[in-house]
Amino acid sequence: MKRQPQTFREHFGAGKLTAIPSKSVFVNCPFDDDFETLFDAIVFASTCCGFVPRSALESGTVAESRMERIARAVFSSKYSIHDLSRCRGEGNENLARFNMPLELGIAMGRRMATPRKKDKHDWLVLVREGHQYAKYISDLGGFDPKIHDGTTENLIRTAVAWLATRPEAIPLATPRKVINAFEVFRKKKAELVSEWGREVPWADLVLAARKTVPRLG
Amino acid sequence: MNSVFISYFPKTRKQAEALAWELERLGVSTWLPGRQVSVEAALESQMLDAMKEARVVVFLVGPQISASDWVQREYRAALERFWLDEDKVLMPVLIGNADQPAFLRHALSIKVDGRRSDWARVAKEIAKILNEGVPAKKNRAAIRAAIKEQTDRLDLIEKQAYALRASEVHKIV
Repeated sequence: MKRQPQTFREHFGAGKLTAIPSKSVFVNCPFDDDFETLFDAIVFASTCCGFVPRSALESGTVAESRMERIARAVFSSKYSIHDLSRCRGEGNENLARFNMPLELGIAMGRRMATPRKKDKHDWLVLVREGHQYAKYISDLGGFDPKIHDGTTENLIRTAVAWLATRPEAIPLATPRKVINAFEVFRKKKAELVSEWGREVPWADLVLAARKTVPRLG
Repeated sequence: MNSVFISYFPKTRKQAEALAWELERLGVSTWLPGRQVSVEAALESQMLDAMKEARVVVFLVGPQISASDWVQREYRAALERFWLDEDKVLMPVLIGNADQPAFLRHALSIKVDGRRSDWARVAKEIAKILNEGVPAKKNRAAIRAAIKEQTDRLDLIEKQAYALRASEVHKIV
């Protein structure tokens, strides 16, 4: 039987691709069509603040379960951003998707498993205005989720204000410059999509973000 | 109008009050969180107003103390105000061997031992900045350091992304 070529991609955070956890942010946001722009906004904001964005999308191999990929990315990132906007009833059965709270739970587990305070995992939880998270995930109440209005501008401002005050963040241009540059990043991403379809390699997405970061000075 | 906002950790409250007293002796008005208001919701709203008005925001940082959630909120609020008004001066005052808050690592800072006599000196330096602004030479040095740090980090991100891309190998299985 003829053997078929298969593509493997090593995972960020492992082996020769070991990423520095304190300079990595795991992005836990929906990335389907309705939310893709918001996902891109957080990836871009993270890069502008000097962090390597990490995601379940970063591995190209299907040999590893999605949950393994996510857990590995969370455990090799000191920071994470979780947008719970998608947790609302949808479709004919009015069911909500709960992948995001599940991944937030992994991040919380990582924090509790971190022995040294210096390396403790830290997260930002984002919810939409009028979101009823307190009714179905009341344990979050003490974590002061940040509210956004669903626009990329507002989301970038919120994410940047949090990221920029993390100890490992780099100095950055103003959020206005980040918001303006985001449009350029989206164009670069559109070019990648026209080349790759929906399977844009994570490395190429990160490189597009990195090349679009507004420079100081 | 408050000219100086003083952000402090609970353990540095006495020093914050000593600094406020010295500044007010020099005719500089001050705002300390928790001194005028104590209800948290009202405090947050007044903190944001005071941060907006202040020309100088002083961050009083003690040794080996982590910033509380409240202080983190003040950090974010100060940064957001600075982005809207770059003439605002953000200035850490470091007590003993305290570390400079990371987001202010390129800012002009003042080091003190924490003795009562320090605060008159610090108040005079702050009053001078209110009158004359941050010395241009120090500003230029801070901008150069920030640009270098941004360049180095973006190079690191690029290196990691290229390594990830290069790791995509085709194998015959």
